[in-house]
Amino acid sequence: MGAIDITAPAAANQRQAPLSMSRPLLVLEGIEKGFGGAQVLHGIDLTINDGEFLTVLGASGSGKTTVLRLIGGFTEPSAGRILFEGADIVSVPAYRRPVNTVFQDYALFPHLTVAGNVAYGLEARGTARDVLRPKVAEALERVALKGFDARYPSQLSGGQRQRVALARALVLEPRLILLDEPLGALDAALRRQMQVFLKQLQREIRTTFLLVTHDQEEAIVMSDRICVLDAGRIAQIGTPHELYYRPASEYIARFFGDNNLIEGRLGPSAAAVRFVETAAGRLMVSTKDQSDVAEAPTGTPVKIALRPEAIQVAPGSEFENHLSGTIRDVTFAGAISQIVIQPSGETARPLTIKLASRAAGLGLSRGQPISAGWRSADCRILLR
Amino acid sequence: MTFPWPVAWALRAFAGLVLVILYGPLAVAVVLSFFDQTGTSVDWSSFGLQWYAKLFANRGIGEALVNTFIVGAGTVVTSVVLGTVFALYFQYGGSPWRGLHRAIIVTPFLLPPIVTGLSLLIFFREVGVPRSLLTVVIGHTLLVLALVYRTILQRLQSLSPQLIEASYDLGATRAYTFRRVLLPHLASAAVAAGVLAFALSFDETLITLLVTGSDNTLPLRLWAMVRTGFTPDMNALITLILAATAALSVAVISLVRPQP
Ligand SMILES: Nc1ncnc2c1ncn2[C@@H]1O[C@H](COP(=O)(O)OP(=O)(O)O)[C@@H](O)[C@H]1O
Ligand SMILES: [Mg+2]
Repeated sequence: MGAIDITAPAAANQRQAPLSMSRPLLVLEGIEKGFGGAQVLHGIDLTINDGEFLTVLGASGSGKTTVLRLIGGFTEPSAGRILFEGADIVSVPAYRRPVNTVFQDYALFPHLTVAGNVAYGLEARGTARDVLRPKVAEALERVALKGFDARYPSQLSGGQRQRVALARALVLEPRLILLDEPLGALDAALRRQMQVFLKQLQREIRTTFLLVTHDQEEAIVMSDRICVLDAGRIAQIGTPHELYYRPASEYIARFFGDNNLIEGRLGPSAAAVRFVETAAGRLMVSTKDQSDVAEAPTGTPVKIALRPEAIQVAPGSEFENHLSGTIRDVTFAGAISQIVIQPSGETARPLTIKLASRAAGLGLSRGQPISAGWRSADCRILLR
Repeated sequence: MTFPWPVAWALRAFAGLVLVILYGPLAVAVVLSFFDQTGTSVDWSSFGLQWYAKLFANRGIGEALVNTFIVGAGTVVTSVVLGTVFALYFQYGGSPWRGLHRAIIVTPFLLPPIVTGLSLLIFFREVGVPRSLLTVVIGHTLLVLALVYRTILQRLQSLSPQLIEASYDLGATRAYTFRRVLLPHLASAAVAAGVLAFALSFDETLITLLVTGSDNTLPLRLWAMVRTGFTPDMNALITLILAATAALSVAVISLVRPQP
């Protein structure tokens, strides 16, 4: 009972075409927020488009909850505007905002049943009983909690409580649902199941979701776009693909994809590439979409972000970058094997390579000499 | 940790002995209330409710019982209403004086009842308030408000601010939130505090003695009976008061226990 049937929203699977995401629904404009002396958010500019699944990703304490509380109306910005469909809602009280929140620890009313919790918002609006009942039943069915009406929150598991909190928000048909680390308290298996469920639900009901998490994998799996928050500042906004393949800073490169970071100094440029002098030799890096890198002065200290799976063992000549070294460590992790190599060259830092275990099984072992290479297009220069 | 058996047995014996010495006399009164007695010898064949019958045949007891309930009810209503209002004042009033306010409310419970009672008596005389059951209710409220207030305040402070935010988030106004979230949260604490107030009021003697007019409550009646000499129906009255207090205590304990 209560298991989530993740195959249920079949209709959602068929509708692969993305929803219209061009129209801004909610805009944060120059938001500053401080508590007493401590500045928590610095100049946040963020546009949430109608119908998208946007995730705010950041470490604990980076200000994620504060962003949601500003939008929900539980706290006011020190400066800046919050526009909902163009109208500033900063002075609109929480109970009149067209958004609903799924709170971090659910905040279910302990003295009300499951049905009572879900009905609460409708009752507060004075909805008639006979209109209310089918809506509550439908919301509970949507979150796979049919038949749980009469239970109290204390009689539910964590996952079930979480879905009650979701149903309580859904039933009001808000334009925007705010979810504060909704899966944080669930175990790993249930969390993965709920990620798929939430994503499909969001497509099915065509409602804008703003989710907050510290889990980058969760963000990648669920989001149309991700906004990375670093100590109260937006580090980068983009699709999961963009963040993964085109990190804008060292912070993002560390957050996504376990990038190798190679220190060096900018060398000469050529067509759409730039050379970087490193302890492992001169490396060639693509500067596509990076006019700032192409124009930066020679000698500028930079880091190269290089994804572990982009490195090839025993590379052919189509790889512009080559290095040789010895294998320091081999770790088998199921489908993937991780190999740490020590490049020859006194001060060069070790590099981590991820290979399909099938390919890695070719007798790679510790201490063995190895050559590795990667394409200039698979790495990226980071100025900050 | 387990004790070696001689220590364990000594501990049990000691606990049993103290129980008998300290609480035995209460049991004696309860047992004797069901039997006739000549001098100090008990007629064990006389088991029955004759003393209870005699007790209630005495008109003064019935009236005292009614008075006790009137005072109890008055004290419960007054203290629970005031306790709730003051707890709300403390928590949400935003007053810089709230700490002092709380200290003042809690003090009378720690004062010797004779001091509280005498102060009230002097005040009522100076101001010219006639002594009656109303003044008794005032005296009892002064005494029990401390506990009622603390119980309700504690419950209020255990309310997660997130629940209130969740209510606003779902579109409820402040007034609706107060009615649907705050009051239900306080309800069981208010009931527990009310029972506690009744239990305390039920057997309060000293303050009552000082501030009552011509009206008797049950403990006062007992006091008056003692002064005119011992009669066996007093055992019946003691037993009744004991039973009522025990029942109320059980009620308080089960109500104050945190909800599942
Ligand atoms: N009400 C508050 N008063 C003071 N500081 C706060 C308050 N709420 C949040 N903060 C501070 O703001 C920072 C960001 O908090 P929060 O938004 O909860 O982060 P996150 O949700 O990303 O973990 C933290 O340093 C936290 O201590
Ligand atoms: Mg948080």
